[in-house]
Amino acid sequence: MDVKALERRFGGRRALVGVELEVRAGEIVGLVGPNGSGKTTLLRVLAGMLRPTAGTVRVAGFEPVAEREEVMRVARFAFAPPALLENLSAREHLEHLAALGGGKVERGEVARVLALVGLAERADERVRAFSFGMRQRLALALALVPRPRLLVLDEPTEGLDPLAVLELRGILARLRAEHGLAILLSSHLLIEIDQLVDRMLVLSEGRMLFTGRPAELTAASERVRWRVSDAERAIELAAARGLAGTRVGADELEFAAECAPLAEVAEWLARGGVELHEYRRTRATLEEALRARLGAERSA
Amino acid sequence: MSVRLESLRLVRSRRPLVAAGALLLFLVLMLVGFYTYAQSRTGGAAEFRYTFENRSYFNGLTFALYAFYFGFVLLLPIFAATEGGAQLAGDTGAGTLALFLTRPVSKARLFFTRFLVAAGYTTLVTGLFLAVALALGLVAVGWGDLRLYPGVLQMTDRPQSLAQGEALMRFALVWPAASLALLAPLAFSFWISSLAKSAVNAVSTAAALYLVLYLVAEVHFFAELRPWLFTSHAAYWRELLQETPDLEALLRHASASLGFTCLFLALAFRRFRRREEGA
Amino acid sequence: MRRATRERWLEGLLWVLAALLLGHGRGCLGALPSFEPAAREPGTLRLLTWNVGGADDGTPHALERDDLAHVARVLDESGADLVLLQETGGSETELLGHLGPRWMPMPGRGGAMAFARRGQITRWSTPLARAVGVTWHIEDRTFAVLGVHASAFSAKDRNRELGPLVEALLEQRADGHILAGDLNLDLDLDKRADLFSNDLALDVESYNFVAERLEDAARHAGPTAEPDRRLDYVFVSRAFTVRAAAPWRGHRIGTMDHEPLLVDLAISGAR
Repeated sequence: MDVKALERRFGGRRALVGVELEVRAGEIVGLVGPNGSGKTTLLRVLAGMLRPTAGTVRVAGFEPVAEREEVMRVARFAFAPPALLENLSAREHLEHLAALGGGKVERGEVARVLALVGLAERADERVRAFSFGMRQRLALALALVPRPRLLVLDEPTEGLDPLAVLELRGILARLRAEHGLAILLSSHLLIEIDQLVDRMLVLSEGRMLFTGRPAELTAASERVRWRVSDAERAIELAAARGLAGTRVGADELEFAAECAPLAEVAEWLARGGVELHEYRRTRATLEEALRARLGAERSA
Repeated sequence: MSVRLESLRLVRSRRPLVAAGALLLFLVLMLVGFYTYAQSRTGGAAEFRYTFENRSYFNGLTFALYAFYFGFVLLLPIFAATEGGAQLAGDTGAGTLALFLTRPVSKARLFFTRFLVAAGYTTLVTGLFLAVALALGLVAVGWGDLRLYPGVLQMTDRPQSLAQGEALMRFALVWPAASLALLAPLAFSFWISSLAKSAVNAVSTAAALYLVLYLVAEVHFFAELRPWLFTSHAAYWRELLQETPDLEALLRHASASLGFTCLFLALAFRRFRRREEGA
Repeated sequence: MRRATRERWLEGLLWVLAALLLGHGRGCLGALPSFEPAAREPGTLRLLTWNVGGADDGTPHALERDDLAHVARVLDESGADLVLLQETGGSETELLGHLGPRWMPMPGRGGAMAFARRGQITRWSTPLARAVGVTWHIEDRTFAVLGVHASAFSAKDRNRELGPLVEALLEQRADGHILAGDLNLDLDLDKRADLFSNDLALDVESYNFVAERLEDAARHAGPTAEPDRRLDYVFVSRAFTVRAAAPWRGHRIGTMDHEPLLVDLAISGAR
């Protein structure tokens, strides 16, 4: 998937501006952003349901609007909330929809996928009796039959219990590792993004806020904390060495990540009559880093 | 494959049941009205001794004709509107259209499969309605020849009579002719459905517009508009019940009905294939 | 071919089909037929019936002098052999003055009048106040003709009048029978009157009574009076074959609503 300088307007409102995205085979890319940031709009453009106002979009080499069928032969999309056919069973969903457009479904594939998503025992019940979580599972199952080269999932973990979320992570990781799938998933649950994705794209008000590995987003937030016997004296000693620290507690100081290593710090603190009780590196969570970025963006 | 899926969805929905129930109720009401009319009115108006209506006029075939004609004009197009509304706007409103658009199937195939299934369903409902009307009439009212007189149903311009066997065969031909005529309101409802975002809006708009156009065609002042209204051509199948049907007139009306069908389908398809989803 | 292009072609095909089918089907409810006086088969008898809308009570719709000249012109140019008028409104003498000596008049009652350009006409008594009954002697044949102006206001009256009138006509010994005039029965086929009133039921009954005994010669002719009502009729017995029948459009008198209705009849030999 290759998106360049994508813009999408709705009347006078710009829902997406200058968005760039690349998803390669064998990687999982996360799409993150608050409500109204343009995530769903971007997914719909990728699915060929909306036309770009400007820019280019290629999915497996095809242009989604004009060549939607070709795109859908290799890609599978699951939008949120999952819209399903109430009067059909889970099995019927898979059997009929998978075969649309001449899709080849291997023998036993339907049963296998239903088992994979944990719906094997409810396979023949009508969807109208399903809970939200079960509908999410079925939506995922639909996205896997027949197996695509590119998988696009919109909020796949919403409504799932923690165990199910864990199972989903395992499924996606296996799909990437064993089948080389390219996966794009949007999520509000940053903890999932952090642990699963190789790269992420953060949107805010239609613009790219960040693109890269999650570690890169949090790297900027890395700090070193000292817990010392005499905070005032330690600050003086650090300042004498050109290190600017801030007091974050009665006996705790915080410095930039590039400050001197533990052994060195302990030595000159001791020479200055200060005991170093603790030296640790801290890093903001993805959520904290993102919030900081968003805050900075908004105040800018 | 998509025909099977659409047919399954249709069968599992409540629409066929509602249609069957409504049509049956309609037939029962018509039977009651027909029978009481037959009882009270044979013998003509009090002043006129030269009556043409007598008990032999009121038989099962006449009942079936009355019931089918009024049902065709007032009920069946509403079911056609319901189908069109459910097919496109229903999926749009429920968000399930995305289920299909995220599969490797063209919008053309989606569109025409749905129309095909809706047309098949409408044809079946029409046939069933006619068959039940005939059966009910023949069982409850009685046998006899079909006698037609000008004026009542605007079906003939001179007194005519068809032997029972011949009349039944003509009724068999009425089925496909009437079904073809219903394609125009069905295609019309597809067009409205392609513009609407919910099934309720689509169905109510299509039904309301159909009724307005039908009434406009009835009013003398709009006589010149009639050739341009698809509702004016719908009841051409009545020609089949003449002793000697005017085949040229039949063909022309059928052409007009089909023409309107193609027109509305073109409008609907154009809208459907060009529109964005989720905008 | 790309999918998008294929879909455009499909849409285009639908437009073309729509145009072709509608073009073909358009004719079935298209232009209304109008009589063409010049196109007359030899040996036919031409009959004209017309409610000229006059009244003899001095009301505003009484025939004016110009109107009479117009009526005379229409009768002359129509090529009619026998003319039946209704609502002449006491202007018979003046009208005759415009028509000239070629026409043989036969006044009836209540504004009904007959004129013959060919053959001879003699009167017979009718049971209705607004009718004229004539025996038309032409080409060695004798035809009983009844010109009628049925009640414009009451379906019940029409229902009551038409039965005895038809019976009276059919009782005349003749080679053929013709009933013509403004019957005020608006039952045309292209009009769907699903709001079926008692008036309509009575008119239906009246029409069918006549139609069972005589052939409606102008049943495909369309409306004869504004805006789209077929009120004027010519019914003929089996002695005749209808060769042409239609209103002669564009010849209404001023604001009057009726067109003249013309019929060409061939004598079929049956009685």
